[in-house]
Amino acid sequence: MTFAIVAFVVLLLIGVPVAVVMAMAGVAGSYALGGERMIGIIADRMFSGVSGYMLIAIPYFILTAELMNQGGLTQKLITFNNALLGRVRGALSHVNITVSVFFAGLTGAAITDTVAIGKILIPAMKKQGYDASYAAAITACSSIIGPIIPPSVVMVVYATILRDTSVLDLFAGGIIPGLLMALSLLVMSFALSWVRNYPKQEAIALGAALAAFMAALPALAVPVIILGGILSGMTTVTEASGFAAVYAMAIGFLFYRNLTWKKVWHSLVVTVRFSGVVFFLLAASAVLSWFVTRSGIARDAAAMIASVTDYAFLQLMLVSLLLILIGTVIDVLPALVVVAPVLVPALVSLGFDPLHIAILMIVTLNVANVTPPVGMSLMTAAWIARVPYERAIVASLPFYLSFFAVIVLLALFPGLSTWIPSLLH
Amino acid sequence: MSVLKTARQLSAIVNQAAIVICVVCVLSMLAISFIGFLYTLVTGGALSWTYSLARVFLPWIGLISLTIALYSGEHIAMTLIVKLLPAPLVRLTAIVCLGVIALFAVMLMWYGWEFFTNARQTYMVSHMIQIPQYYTAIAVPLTGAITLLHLVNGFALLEHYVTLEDVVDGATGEHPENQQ
Repeated sequence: MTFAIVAFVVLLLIGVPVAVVMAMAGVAGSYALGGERMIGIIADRMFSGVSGYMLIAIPYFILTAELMNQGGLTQKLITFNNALLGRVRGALSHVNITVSVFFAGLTGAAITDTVAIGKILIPAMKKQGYDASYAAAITACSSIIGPIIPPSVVMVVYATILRDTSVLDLFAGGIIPGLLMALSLLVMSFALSWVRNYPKQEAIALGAALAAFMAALPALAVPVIILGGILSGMTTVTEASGFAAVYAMAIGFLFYRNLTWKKVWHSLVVTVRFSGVVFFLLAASAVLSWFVTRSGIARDAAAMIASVTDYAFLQLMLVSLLLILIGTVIDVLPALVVVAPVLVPALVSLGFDPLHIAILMIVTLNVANVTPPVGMSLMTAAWIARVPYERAIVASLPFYLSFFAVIVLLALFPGLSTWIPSLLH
Repeated sequence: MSVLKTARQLSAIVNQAAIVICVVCVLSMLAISFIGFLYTLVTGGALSWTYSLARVFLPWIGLISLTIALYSGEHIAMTLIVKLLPAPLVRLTAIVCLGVIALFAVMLMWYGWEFFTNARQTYMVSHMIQIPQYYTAIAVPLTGAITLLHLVNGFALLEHYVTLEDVVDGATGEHPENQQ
């Protein structure tokens, strides 16, 4: 086992792709457990890792988001949200958050959200006198709502790795925490806007506001279709996500009329490329999980957590801290596929609800997307805003407090994650 | 040098072919899922063959698309520490990384071929539509072979030399891969 752990850490540190590291560490561990004949599991496990029927939803969700993005949806959502919040002090800051909530219902990927919204809103915010580093910070911090509010590729991946938690429960369980994150960001945004005297927008006529709403309406129907279909039990996740992709294509061609075949091809290429990243991690995690399950690492982890404290809340905060530390140096998806097979069984054996842990884990790892040193969303937003990364980090500090408050609430009250799913059963 | 150039051209062609295969698979699955969705909507029942048929395409997308991600040099590695090293050491770690990926690809080919030959003897994807599993199992050694071929691109595959601009371009779709 030591051999596998050493191989894992060394390969990771020298920059070998995370998926290759997981597969090779899994093979090394399997070799240590059963000798040469166990090496062959690499083929079987990688094949199984990408064969689960539910995984069909991953390219569909990515395609839907890409088609919507190509169809100019971002601008329509911003116009609509501006009509709602334009006259409030610090309007564009709040709009940045609310657009991310709507966007979350479509993409479920933080970096896509950062780029799509940031490229439009960051220059607009700078023009209105907002500090560029603040514009970058709010764009990045609000983007991480994407993978928490369903649909979410991260949740599909989680449900694939840990089959005792259904994707339906995860989708339903992410609604309150996602909205809670948006609310906590809005509270901070209102407070900072008031203190720093950020500008209001020009008043928007009712007619223009209604027109903006009508233009955004067909796009806003996508999350309703996906969630409505799945939560009502009318369709499966794969059927609903497939329908959403076809619907996105249809409204792009017929309603918005700005989708071309070239853009559809582009969306498909982006879809297979991004799907490749996700599938690579899933295939490799199946090899590593095979070893982790048999090695007893999860049992040891549970014993270690229990040895620190008996108090459930502190145990969860300890795990959250660990996740944030892991997330500071590694992306959300690889971090999830690496730690979930070890930590989740450990926490379940200590008596925690699997769904509660799942949501807490997804929220916490996403927060790490905007924390230094490797906060991909924040780095991307800083690059768009043309500000040094360090300044964007400083500007994000107040929002870290918002996230911390949400994590504490989620750890303290499991019902925030489990109440809506319980209504479905 | 010309051998390397030819190998890189071949790698690019294979990557384009992989993209086309994956796009065709995604569209085929989409059509199947959409038919299943409409059938459920109209009749309230479920088509029995959609599940089995869609599963034929999934391993192909899942495995072949990972070679596309690798070829594109997507952000899937932890290079924070490596990028702090002096240039010669960065180069050394990059060479080791390529060696590890090569070993991974060879293992995938070798054991994938074994997996494929075993699948020829017994299994089916589904008894419902009688499709032999080797139709999908062949994707495993093929993925290993494509990964090995892509290694001719050297450091371009790794994140050691990827800048933030490359990442943003990738997310906005301005990646060279999308311009074809």
